[in-house]
Amino acid sequence: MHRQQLLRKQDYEEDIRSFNAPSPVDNQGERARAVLRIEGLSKSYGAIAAVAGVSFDIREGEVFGLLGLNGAGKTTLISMLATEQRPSAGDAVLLGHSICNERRTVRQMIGVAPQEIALYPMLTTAENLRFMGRIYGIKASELEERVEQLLESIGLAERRDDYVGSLSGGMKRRVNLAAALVHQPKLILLDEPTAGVDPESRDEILKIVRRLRDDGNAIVYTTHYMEEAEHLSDRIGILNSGRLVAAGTLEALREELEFSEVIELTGFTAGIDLTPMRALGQLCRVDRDEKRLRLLVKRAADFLVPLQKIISRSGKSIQLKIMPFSLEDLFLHLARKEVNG
Amino acid sequence: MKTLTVMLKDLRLISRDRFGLVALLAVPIVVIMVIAAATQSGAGSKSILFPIVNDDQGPVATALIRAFNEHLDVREVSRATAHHLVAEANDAPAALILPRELSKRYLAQKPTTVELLTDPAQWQELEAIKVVMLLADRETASLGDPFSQELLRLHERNITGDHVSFSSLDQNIPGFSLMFVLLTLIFSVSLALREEEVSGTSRRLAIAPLPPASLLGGKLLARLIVGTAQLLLLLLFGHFVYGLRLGHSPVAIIVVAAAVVTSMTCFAAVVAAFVRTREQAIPVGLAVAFVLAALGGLFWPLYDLPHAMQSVARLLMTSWSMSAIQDVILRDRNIAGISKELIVLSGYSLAFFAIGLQLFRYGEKAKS
Repeated sequence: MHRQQLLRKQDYEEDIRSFNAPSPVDNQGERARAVLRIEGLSKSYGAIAAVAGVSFDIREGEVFGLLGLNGAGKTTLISMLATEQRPSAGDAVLLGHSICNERRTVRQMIGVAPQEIALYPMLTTAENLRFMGRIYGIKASELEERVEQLLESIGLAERRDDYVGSLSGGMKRRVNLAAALVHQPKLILLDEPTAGVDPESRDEILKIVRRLRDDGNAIVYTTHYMEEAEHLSDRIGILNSGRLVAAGTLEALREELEFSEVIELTGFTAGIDLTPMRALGQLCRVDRDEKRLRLLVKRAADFLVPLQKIISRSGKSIQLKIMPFSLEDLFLHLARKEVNG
Repeated sequence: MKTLTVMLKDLRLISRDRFGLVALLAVPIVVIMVIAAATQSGAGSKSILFPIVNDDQGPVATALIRAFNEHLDVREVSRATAHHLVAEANDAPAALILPRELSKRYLAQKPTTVELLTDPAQWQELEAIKVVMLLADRETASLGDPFSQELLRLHERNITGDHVSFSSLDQNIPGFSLMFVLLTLIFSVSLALREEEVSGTSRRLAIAPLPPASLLGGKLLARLIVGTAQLLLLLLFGHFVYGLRLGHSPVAIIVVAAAVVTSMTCFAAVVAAFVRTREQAIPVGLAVAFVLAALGGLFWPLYDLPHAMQSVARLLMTSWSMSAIQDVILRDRNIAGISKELIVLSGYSLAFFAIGLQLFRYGEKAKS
């Protein structure tokens, strides 16, 4: 038991090595400044640790993709950063202000788009945004202009006077996002902003997020869509059982692993003997199921010749595909690693 | 079969709302108990205070006082005290003044005028006193039935306002208006808070830079404005359709309506804290509104209640509300004249708001 715990800790420490991975650079090529610094943030409910000692930072002009299975602690972490829940231990500092001790100031600097649509269905789109602006103390003279600007940017200027209740799910999501931006926050927390929306609205939302990033905003973005996170995030953090098991750029995380490419064989793969390949001494891992066989390798090119021989010798119809090790692969690999200890 | 499946699923859901199940029986039982106690076990006219100024000190006055004492809570007092009890404290609906030489004149078969100082705002209690005075006829028959032989003439004088008589509408219109305003406030505050949770906006507001007092205060203020308008419009409806008096001071009626509705709105915030689902709002709202209305004298005068309940009633915001409204519309008082009620209602408002704020839960906290 003790040994198992040690092993797990070792794995965790290895995975977290990428914590200090290169951060995004600004236009001048200099490292962007940290907007949010999270240090040992924890939240426990009785004996259950929902978030356990999470540390990382988020920089200007960066989208930090926060990934994890359901119950991994993403929403609890977001909720603490948004000052909705108090941490059991640790702290996060937003531009010099503690989320524990300066909640009022921090709230003024954070914009949150919650997972659920959080809007008044019987207020119009513009009225919802105007209300949020007033709550955040935006001057009346600036507010109208800001609302118009946001409505333009989310592509709903023509629906400004429509009740939110009458909008489609995707449109509501866009207004939900805009409501988090009225007061021009320094840090934007987006909790699954594309959950359950149509592809067109998702595209719109992703465009908005990219624009926000390009404007220099720091964004924490949680999602279950790996492809979305892979394309959008500058850095990625993976939460598992409340712990941050990996953090860094996708490239850095891949480099940390002993494999970076996947050779996928589909067709009549049952009974294929891979012993000759193992003899090469470079094969890292084999995942096999009924329909396919996946070889996780460092360099796929090194395996093509022996694989060709194996396939020819088997006499079966087998298709071969080479692909980079995706974020989804990485995510599942780390999740499995945690489960297996 | 499918109907049965649906029914079983719904029964399972109903059985899991324990509060709802308890409310199903407990709420009507509580309301029935309160109403039964008020209508059957009341102390009746014996609880009505009837001050008598005995300037006569003769046998006729003694016989009359003994006869009244059988049915009323008679107290021999000075003129000043009698005036205070009727006109200022409103503890007594009327006071009787038995003049000097009453017995002497009566025994000499000469008619005498006795004065009844009244507070017509307490018209039901006043009616009860007049009935007792008729009963006293029989009790004093040995003295020759003084009232019927017109040896004693009764002169009634209103010392709290311009009007000598009122009708049951003067009780029922303000009483039922207050009850409906209270009911509406409990429903609307409870449902508005639950609605914010359902629409997810409570979470957004919970993490916005505004203190809980502003958040709750803002929500209550909106209901306060609507509730005050509702109460004033109901009273105006009573005025134009049924001739309900509204007193001499429009400012006083507006101020008293605002004070009454403020205390009720803040009270609704406390009740709303215990309402966890929209389904619970109806039984809880009905129970609280009916019990407070019955005990607070909105349905019937307080003297109908047993002594213990009358003591409880004096602690209720509803009885102070009713008293404040009656002071303005029936006793023609201005703001200074209802300052005591206004202070008490403001105290209730502050206390209820403080409690409501303590119990107020928004965002994630509301779910836990």
